[in-house]
Amino acid sequence: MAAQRQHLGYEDEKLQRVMERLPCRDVQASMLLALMGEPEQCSYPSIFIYGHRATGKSHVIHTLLKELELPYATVSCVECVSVGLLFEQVLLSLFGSDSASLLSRNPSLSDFVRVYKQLCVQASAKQTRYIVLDRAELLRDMEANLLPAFLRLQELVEDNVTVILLSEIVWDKFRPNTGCFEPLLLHFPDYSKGELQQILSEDSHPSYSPELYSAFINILLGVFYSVCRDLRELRHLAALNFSKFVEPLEQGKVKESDTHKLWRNIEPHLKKAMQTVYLREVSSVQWEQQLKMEEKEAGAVRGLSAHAHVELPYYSKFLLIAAYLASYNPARTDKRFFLKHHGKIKKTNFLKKHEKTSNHLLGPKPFPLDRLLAIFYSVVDSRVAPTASVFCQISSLVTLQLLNQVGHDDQLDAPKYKCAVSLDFILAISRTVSFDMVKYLYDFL
Amino acid sequence: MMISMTVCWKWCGDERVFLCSMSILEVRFVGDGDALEHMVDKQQDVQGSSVQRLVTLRSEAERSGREDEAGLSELHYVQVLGTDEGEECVTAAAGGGASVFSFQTVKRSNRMAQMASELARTPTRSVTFRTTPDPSGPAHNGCNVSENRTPQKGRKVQFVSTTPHRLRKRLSAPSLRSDSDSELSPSDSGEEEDDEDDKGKREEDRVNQSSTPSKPSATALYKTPAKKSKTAPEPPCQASLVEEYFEAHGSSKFLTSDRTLQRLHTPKLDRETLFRLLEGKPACYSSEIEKLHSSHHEHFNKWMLQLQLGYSVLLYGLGSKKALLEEFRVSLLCQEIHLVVNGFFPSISLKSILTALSAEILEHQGTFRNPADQLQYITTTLREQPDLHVYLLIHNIDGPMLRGGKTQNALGQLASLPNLHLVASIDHINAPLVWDQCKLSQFNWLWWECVCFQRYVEETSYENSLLVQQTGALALSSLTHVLRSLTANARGIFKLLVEFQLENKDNPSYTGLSFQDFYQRCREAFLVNSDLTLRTQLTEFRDHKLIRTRKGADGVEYLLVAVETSTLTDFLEKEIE
Repeated sequence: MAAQRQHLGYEDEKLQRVMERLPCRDVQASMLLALMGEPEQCSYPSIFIYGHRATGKSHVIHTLLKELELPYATVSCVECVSVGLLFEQVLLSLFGSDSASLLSRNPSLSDFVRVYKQLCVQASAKQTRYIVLDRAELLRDMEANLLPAFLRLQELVEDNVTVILLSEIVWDKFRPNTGCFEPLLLHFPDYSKGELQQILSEDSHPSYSPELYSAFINILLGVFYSVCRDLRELRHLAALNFSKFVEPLEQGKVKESDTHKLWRNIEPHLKKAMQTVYLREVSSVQWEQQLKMEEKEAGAVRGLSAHAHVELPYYSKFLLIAAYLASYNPARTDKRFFLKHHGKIKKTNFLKKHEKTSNHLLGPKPFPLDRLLAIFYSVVDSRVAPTASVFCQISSLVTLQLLNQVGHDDQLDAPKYKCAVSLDFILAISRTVSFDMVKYLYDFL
Repeated sequence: MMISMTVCWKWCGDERVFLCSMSILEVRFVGDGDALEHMVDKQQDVQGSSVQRLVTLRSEAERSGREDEAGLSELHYVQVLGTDEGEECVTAAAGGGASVFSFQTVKRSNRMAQMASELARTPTRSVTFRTTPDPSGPAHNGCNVSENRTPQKGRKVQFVSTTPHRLRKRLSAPSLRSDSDSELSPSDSGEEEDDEDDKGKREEDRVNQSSTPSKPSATALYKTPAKKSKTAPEPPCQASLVEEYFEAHGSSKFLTSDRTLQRLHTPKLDRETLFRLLEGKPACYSSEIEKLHSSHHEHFNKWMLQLQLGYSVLLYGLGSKKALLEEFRVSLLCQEIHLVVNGFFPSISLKSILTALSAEILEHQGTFRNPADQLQYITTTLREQPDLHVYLLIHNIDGPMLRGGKTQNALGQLASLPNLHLVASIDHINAPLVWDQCKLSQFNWLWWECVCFQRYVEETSYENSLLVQQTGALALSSLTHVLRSLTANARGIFKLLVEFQLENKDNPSYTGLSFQDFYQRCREAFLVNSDLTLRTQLTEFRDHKLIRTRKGADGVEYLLVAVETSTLTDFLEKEIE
């Protein structure tokens, strides 16, 4: 490999440094280097790099371009809400600060090409210029001619320029209907468990031995590898939990070599971390401060999802209950639930028609306003006048996203709604107004 | 063509009097198929009913030459027939001469079939009606029927020949009582039933009026008259209304009304005829309404005070409140700067309101990029000039074009300005649904009940009624209304055509999109899969008068949207929202 690199026209130590900074990505990096060729050589017009999240796509590209001191522009397509912003960023980083002023206020693609050519003549390229477009999948939502134009930008501007597209989505989803210049496809595979171990072990704590940290990473991967292979997530978890891991060492209870005891100490803790901090129920700061420093029992802090209780007005509660009943009960069962003298509908032959799947698995069904009001009047014990405030409460529930309006075409004549709250939420609400919810739900008969 | 003559006698109980009411006789030209049907019907009837007798006369050879003969001879013929049977025949009300002599054919036979089926099912009930001799019956029928039956007969014939068999069968079922009032039965029993029905309906109306606002629409939608008349006498309390709702909606099968437009004599009137017909109608209780109207005038000063105090006035209640607001405007707002918005106008938009405010009142020249900018400009200008008071009168703030969330939000922002005062009226029963708490707090409404009992003349003049023929180009609201009921693909097809037309709006030689070209475009957009589907869709558009086709010089069909360009632009904007 070393022999291969020598004829690329880069200094040897530079290459060495680059490769050190890219662990487990040797193959990809050397492939990219081979594609880029020597700095003066004309490179391939466009390269499409894809791979899962946190497989080192941006990192590899940036390290290569930065360390080898090549002219390049990095643009995140998330930031560029308009095409003009994107063009401006490209020109700024390739040609310096005054270049963007040449663009008009609302530039089109041809403006960009013209300005690029103009600047290119003034400062002709000695080396290949690179344009890196991060999160390139968002290019598809911009103007239709943008992606094909970037793919053959080399032809359009007649300059030695290479466009690198980074994405998590495969190329097949990008291809325009009318076809385009096909880029070179390069795949970054996932890190294996061993590779993750190797990369994570690199940032060891200075006051402890690398072996101890490596053992900690081993335990961490043992717990988390089945649910998470994201390097960044794992690294964050490792940083959060290491202090707890070394706690017994600090207190002098165990020695460094006694990994089993350390494992026994940390393992339940990590499991708790999976349920709380990994799901962002508890913020990292809370996790660090309260659970470590004050020696509180983990899980005593109520997470975000525990705050599901909402205070609502009395009638709003009943409206929400009625909406839930209307959403999850079939309309043909209304007679049985809400009519006092429903006559000969027996429970047994009623249940014969039972659908195989419960309504709670299928999700809420839309219902008309009339049905909501009818159920509302029948579940509320007292006599309710259909005042404007009742109607406004329905609209307010929609605004609060506790109800959804279905089909926005008819706002007044016969609006349809869906209930958007969970069973737990509605049970809690029905408990506050002492309404026996389960008795009225068809699924729980 | 052949003549089928049916003479119906009514057998009245023990007195063995055969009544032949002449006025219900009618000569009619009936198609062969129909005549055959009746033949079958009648034979069944004769077998099925024991108390009724029916004589069917059909002799084609004899009849064929008799069409032009005077009715008198036919009468004789009938009488002869009657005496041939050896029974008395009382001819009632024979004074009309030829005009009176009409043989009831199809309708009667149908009625007989219905009676027969009724008898077969519930013998006791019908029999009691029939067997009680009622001397007043025939005379009553004779004078009653001769006036108003003839048009209905014609309708009846049409009905029988056009409706499918299934519907007819359902019609003859005795449970569907709603049909009975249109079908004048010669017997008293029928009249009684009708009376009962009417009474029931009146009861219903009373219940509906006193009920909750959402209820009448619900109960009126799916009418099951038999059930309704049973539940009607109950006191109109909430519980029973709820139960009524569930009763009405409990069964999965909904009965559709058979009262189609085809059954009407003149299915569609044009607007002028309608107005002419309506004009002759005198207003009832005009003095009382006038009194009510003037009682609302007393509040004008209160409203004015409340407007100054930062509230907005909202009028609700039965009847058109336009005249009231107009009087309010004339009496109190004449000296002030005010803007009247007709919310019922089908092509009104938020943009037009904002433009009226910014261009006319604030005298701003120039254009705005979007309504948000315009609103921003209006709010800042009004805040800068606290002495400038603007009064905004909105008739029907719940109008079809103003009920959108964005429009109401903008109006709310306007209403929350301290020097812009809003007076509005609502008419829709679900109008409060438009506002949530956030918007309500912006509007700061004071609700005034103003029951006016005035007719909605102007408000409904734009409405797209089924009974009235459409005139002129479609308005935006009717355009959206029609398109809402279509499928997503159909909307896409229409949108394609609209977009193409808007692209070519500056081209005076534009003759429309050719069918082949349009088909290609629709195929590309995956909107249709075959030539035929597109043609079906286009036929539907043509039925709704959305598009016009024109044969070009080269024999190719050209498609044009028959709506104004500005309306189309508004429509596209609304679609994108």
